[in-house]
Amino acid sequence: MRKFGVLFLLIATGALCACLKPVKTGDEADSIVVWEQEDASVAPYIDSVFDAFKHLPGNEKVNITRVHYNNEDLRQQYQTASIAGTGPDLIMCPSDFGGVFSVAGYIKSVDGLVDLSIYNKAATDAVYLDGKHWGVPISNGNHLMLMYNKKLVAQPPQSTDELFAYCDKTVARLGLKTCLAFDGGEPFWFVPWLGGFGGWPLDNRTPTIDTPQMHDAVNFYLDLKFGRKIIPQECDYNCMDSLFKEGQAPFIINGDWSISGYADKLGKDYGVARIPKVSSTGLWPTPMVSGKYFMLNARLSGAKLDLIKKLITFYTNRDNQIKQVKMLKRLPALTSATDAPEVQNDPLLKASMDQVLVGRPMPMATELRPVWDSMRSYMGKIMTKQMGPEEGIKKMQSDVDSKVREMDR
Amino acid sequence: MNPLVVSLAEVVQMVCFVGWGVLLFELYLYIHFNKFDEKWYFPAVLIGVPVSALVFAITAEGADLPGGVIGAILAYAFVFELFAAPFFKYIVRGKHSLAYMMIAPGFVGLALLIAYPLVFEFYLSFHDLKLTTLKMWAETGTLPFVGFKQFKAVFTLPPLSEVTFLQLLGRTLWWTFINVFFHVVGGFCLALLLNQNIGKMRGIYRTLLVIPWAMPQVVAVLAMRGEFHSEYGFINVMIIRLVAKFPFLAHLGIGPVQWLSNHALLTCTLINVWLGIPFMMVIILGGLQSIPSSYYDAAAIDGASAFQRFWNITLPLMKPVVAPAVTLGTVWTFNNINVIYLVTGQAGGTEQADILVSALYKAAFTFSRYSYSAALAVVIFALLFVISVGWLKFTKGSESAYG
Repeated sequence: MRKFGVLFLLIATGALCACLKPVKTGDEADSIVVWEQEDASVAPYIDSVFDAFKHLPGNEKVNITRVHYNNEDLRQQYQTASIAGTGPDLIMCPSDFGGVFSVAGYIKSVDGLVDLSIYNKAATDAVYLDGKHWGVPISNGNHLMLMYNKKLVAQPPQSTDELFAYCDKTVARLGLKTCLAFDGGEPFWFVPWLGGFGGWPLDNRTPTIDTPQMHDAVNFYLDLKFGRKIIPQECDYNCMDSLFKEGQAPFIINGDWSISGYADKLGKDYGVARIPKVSSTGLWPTPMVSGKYFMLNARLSGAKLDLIKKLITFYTNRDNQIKQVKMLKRLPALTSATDAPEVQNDPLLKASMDQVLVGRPMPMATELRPVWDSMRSYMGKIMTKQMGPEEGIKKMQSDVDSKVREMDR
Repeated sequence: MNPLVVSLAEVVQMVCFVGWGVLLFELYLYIHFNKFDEKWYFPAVLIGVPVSALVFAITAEGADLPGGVIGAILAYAFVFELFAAPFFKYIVRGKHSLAYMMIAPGFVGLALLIAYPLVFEFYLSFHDLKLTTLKMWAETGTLPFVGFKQFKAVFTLPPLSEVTFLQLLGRTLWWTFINVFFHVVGGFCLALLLNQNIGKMRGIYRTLLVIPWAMPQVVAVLAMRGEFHSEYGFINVMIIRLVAKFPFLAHLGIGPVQWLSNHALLTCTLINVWLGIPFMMVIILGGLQSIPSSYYDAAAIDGASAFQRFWNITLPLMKPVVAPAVTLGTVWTFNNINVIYLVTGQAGGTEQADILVSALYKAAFTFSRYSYSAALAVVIFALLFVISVGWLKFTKGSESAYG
């Protein structure tokens, strides 16, 4: 009797395994997993477009799962998942992710899959590396700009001298917590100022850190924190975001991803302008400009790949690009949407475009990765006065060089 | 289909799959341990084992397995059985069958979850997996062999930017010592207090004290990280108010501190001490409650003071409880990436709070130095192994206090 019991158990569990097999949906052609690193205010827009796609004729069975990560988390998680041979089908990210991912073979080139000629050339150029394109542009920009609260600021400053004058006069008088809400620990926020002193972190693929322009920019940064004290002493992204939203800071430097959230929160009191010109050099700060992109998992093929192509084409069609403009206040990537009245007549978008004009394309070279990592580490040390700027910059250059050598590209 | 139903079905399928695998494995062992003298033993196992392996593979991967894979499964299982069947028949001969059958699933599980990754870690540490060789690995399954180069690099190149391996090791040992010291002292003090006759409130106190340990560590650490914020954190708010109330404190140099920027390691230590004390307290309290009260009664009759009773009864009898707990605490604290990672941020940070394992993680997943990190992990494993064995031998912690 016991033998029959064991035999029955064996057959029953085996049969259950076999019967449940079809419910596995991970690799099914009509199930798409998307990872993104967008601001929380962008999620409803993304979901609305995905929903619209699912309601297209023939897409009734399509299931799209969106998973949110922070910027660095998305990069690391995707990298880890790719090593394990898994990961999402699509990621939505800035162009610089493509440099590392393409070299490591985590993503698929989009040449031949999607007609890239319909997108702005600047946007597609930003994901061109080693003779191939590695992403499909969703929006143009992803750049930093100055945002201000019109209740506290009548006219945005055109130069750093004007900014300092405002801060000196007004912050204490109004009892504000800080003048310029700013994520001083993130190198992406430092790069525009480096440009304002005439520098740039990469010359083609060569890291250019230990330069006179870098020294000037770092000293300027130190002056903002310790000399003029117009930026918070210790503030990350969430902190600066709260300061601005709560009206405790008249200015913030933030990216185009945050425009819609602030516009909702502050309404007509919200303004966008160029980051003020550096008075000592007469140069405009140069934020990195790229955009948001779809990048495709390298293992995609067959029917799933066809479905992904349809989704990308739908997501970036003219109607959705204009919807994106209206809801997110982002510059479109599709050439035919750029001239739409919704784009041309929107004051926030005009200001955003004005900032793009003085920005510089974000390099896609893999060498940018060690630049970010090293800059984050040494700028942190310099800005907490654990290391002098001279020593910090020299070590930053040497550390980047060493990491680039190690890549052995 | 409803995603919840799909997820539940996947979980049930996984459980069934594992259960089925265990049943098949137990059946295999049962036949080899108990039926080795039957006439049908050899033909049955030489045919049955390859067929079972194939059925198992089809259940796992689906019926569309390529012909080559099917052939390979049958061939490998047959060859394996050619050696295994005589081994069980002529050497094992059914000895200790029940014991082996009981531990076999656990042994296989451990082999899959621990031994395989460990072997792979060793493999990686002698090869060169990095950003620029990942593609080669994915396409060819091979990596350049580099011998001991990665191990040499562990001692000559910093894992992140500046702090060397030896500096990180020193910092890690210090971090481990300070944390475990305060965990044990704090846990002991609280356990002694809770072990007193404090009436019905003991359960409530114990519950309140265990909360930091019981709640998910991510939540606890992130909440505490917020409390250490220089402008909005509770700690600095308290300091500012205290200084406002008692201005002489400002003259003593007391004022708000940029905890996260300037004292990252201290902040991590304070948070980790807070998190770790409840665990030690629970372990030590359990030990204290198991000491027979007759020992204390006898000592009291002999006129022993409270300190003498603590020193001569409590401490010696607590050694078998505390020594393994300290060993565990040491290994956990040495390897505690959560607190450092969550407090200092995941993206490199400024290295001032990094210990060996957090540097290892960042070297691998921020800087893509996979083989270097594997070699570093092997070195850390060797260090922990030596420290743990040495500590247990030194304290004789695995011996019973009652002889």
